[in-house]
Amino acid sequence: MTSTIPAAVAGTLAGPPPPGVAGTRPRPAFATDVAVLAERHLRLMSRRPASIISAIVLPLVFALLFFTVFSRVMRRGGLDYIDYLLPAVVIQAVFFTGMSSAILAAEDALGGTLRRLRTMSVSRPAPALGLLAAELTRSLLSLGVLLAIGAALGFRFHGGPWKALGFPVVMLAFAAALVTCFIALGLAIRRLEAVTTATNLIYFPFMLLSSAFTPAAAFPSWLRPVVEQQPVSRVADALRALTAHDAALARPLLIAGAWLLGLGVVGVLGASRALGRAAA
Amino acid sequence: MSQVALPRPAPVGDTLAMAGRALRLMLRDPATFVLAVFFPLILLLLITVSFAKIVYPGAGYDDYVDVSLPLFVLMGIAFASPFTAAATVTDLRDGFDARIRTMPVSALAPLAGRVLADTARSAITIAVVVVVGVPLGFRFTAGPWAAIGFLLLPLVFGLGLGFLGLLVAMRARDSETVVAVLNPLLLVCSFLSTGMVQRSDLPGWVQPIARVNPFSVVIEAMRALAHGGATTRPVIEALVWSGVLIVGCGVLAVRGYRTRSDRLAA
Repeated sequence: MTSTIPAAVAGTLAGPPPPGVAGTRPRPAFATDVAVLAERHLRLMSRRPASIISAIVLPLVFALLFFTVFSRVMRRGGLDYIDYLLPAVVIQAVFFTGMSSAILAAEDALGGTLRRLRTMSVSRPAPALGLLAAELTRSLLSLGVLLAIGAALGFRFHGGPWKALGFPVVMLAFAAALVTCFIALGLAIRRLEAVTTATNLIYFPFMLLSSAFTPAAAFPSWLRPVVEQQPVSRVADALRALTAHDAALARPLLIAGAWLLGLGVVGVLGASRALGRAAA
Repeated sequence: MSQVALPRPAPVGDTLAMAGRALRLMLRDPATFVLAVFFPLILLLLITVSFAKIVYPGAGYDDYVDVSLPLFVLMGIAFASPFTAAATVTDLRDGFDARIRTMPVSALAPLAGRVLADTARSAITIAVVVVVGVPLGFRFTAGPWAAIGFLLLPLVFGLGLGFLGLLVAMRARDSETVVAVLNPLLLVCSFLSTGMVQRSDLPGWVQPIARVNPFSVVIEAMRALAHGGATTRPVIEALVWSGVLIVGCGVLAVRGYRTRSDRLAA
């Protein structure tokens, strides 16, 4: 258990400073603190069946179910569904990661962990950044599982290795932006049930009113502009451009990048504000 | 010398008392009501606008509502049951049941009371989804008695799902695990059914599963009750599935409850 205590903190627990160094206070070590707190969250997740299920089992179940139920009707419409579906379930898994981060952030605020860390010489943003790092690790795990099942069902990167390498980069950028926003939400709301409700109210409309699972052409014409423009569709466009053989790359990447930058800025501002209040 | 008469458990009265408690708890924490109403509505609206044209290329959005509404009623009822199951585990951990077991209360009552209280919530789910669905294209064309049957059938099936949730709850370590186990199970039942696409559009290996899946069976019965056609056979099949779930899961859940709450009380 000692490894869950930041190194800088371990110093303060060791008792009064020896006579020679009286007066020196332990200094926050930013990188160490983030790493130690990330490890703490990963360990908490690994001991929690709900986390494991939402990181591994649910993305897998959704991928298999959507593929199984809608492959035939999609093929009738001329769409190879596994290639279309994989970016969608990757985005969905990132949403599950975001929901997890909102809950864990709220729990840290509720349980007093943040206040406790604030009394110690731990770098200020480290609790939020540690959680972010842990959630990004988690999203990579989900991605690995989804790419494996996708490959088994016939998904291929048709654009060669360089574009394929861009795929996890875009996913991580989306995850970083979304998780930061959701951490802000969790820290600001701080009531577990309200956090669950709020994150679901974001997840369902953004996920289902997007071109992630079905092409925008399937939506009613009055809804189509919203469906095409909203950020989840734009991220899906970017991910699909990276898996396709000869799609234009620059435009979808730039639009998605602009959305993610905007989301990220909102998230960072919100999270730093909410972190200050939650730890006060 | 008069002997002290030990009070005897009264299963029916006890169950009603417990159902009253569960209902009061629900009313004081309306979050689950909100979920039970909005979740099926969100699915009905969003799945319809995104998938209708894919599943039935020639038809309108209203036709998809007409066909798929029963599934979203069932999903609304089904995905509320993990919350009840989770609350039951919390009761066990908090010592509520240990306290109840020291008193002459029927061991059926705490569980049956929960499931009964859920029925009230399910009724609201059904009412809201139908009230929203009718202007969007859902039609009752088989007469008033069949329509009443349409509204009641998911309530009966909901009892079975409620006991299924409680059965999982009795074996789970904590309330989070209950939700984490039940959600994937309910998702598989919802998707591998005839609720979203026609059975002939499912892959060959799924078609027999979709045929016997209790969700499909109840959905087909609800469709027959709303739109006409042969109703007797589908309704009997749906009632048989509901009965199997209620009795099977009910007996196993109560047995699990006895062992677990006695161990906690000891």
